[in-house]
Amino acid sequence: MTIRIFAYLYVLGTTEGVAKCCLLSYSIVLIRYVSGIFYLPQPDISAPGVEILAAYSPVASPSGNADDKRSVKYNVVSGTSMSCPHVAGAAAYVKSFHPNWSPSAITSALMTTGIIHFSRSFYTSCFSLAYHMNFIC
Amino acid sequence: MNTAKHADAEFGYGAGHINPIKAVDPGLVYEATRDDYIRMLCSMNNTLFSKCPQHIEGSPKDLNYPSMAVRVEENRAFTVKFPRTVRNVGLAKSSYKSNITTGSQINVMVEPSSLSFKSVDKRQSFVVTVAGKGLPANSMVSSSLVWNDGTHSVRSPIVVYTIKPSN
Repeated sequence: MTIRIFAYLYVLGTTEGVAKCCLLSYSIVLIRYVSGIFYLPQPDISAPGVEILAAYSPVASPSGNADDKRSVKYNVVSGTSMSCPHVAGAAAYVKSFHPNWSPSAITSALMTTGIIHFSRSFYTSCFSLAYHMNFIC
Repeated sequence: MNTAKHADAEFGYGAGHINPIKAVDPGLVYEATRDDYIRMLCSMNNTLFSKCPQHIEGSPKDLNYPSMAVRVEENRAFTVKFPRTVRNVGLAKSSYKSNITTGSQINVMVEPSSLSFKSVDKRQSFVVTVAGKGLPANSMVSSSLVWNDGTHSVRSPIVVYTIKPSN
């Protein structure tokens, strides 16, 4: 979500919650002065990032093992790199309704409407992901 | 996602899990311009850019961001103010009431505690004041501010922490 900001702003993704809640990966914004002496974390947004069907480089080893010579176009992978496109897609979805909104307005819209209370079944269901991001169908 | 289940709290899950359908109609938005970001960066270090003013008021927490976070000195009483401005993107005539959830360690107030709009795109400003008697080392306290007009719920997480910066 911080695509158009400055070189001094870093986006830090964390995946610490993964073990407790198997279907989310988390990201926060970390603003850090370039020399490393100043830092300001701010709560940002979470999006799906665990066990995501994602495009994959056909020249990379699908298992991460150098002896694995298979080539795949898709793989099921986890991390903030899978979480980030969900947020980008949601931002584009919001912008399609409000073409004149600034990036900060779209960021605000995503953040202030985030879901914070999940039912117990949400925690225990690893495969309800599509349901929670099902805004296209 | 709540603090009982996630020790990282807002630094783990942020403002919440993304919800695109609701995000299309948020009611109010917090906006920050390019100049606001430059002012924030200058407030961190006024030698960052040649256009930074010599003396700048405020600090990064003052950026008009939908979440509010501040680091305070451990075991020291604190009072922190977050100035914020929202733009009405919901119903033309609307009235929002503030709702604060907080624990025993901090006291959170918002002034004014209600916002009235007569048209779309109008802006209203308010100040969130967070006060406490002092937090232990390496701790964080979560709170939240929700503006509600009966249709929209505009939630901002508030975090006060004493966790030391790491590189």
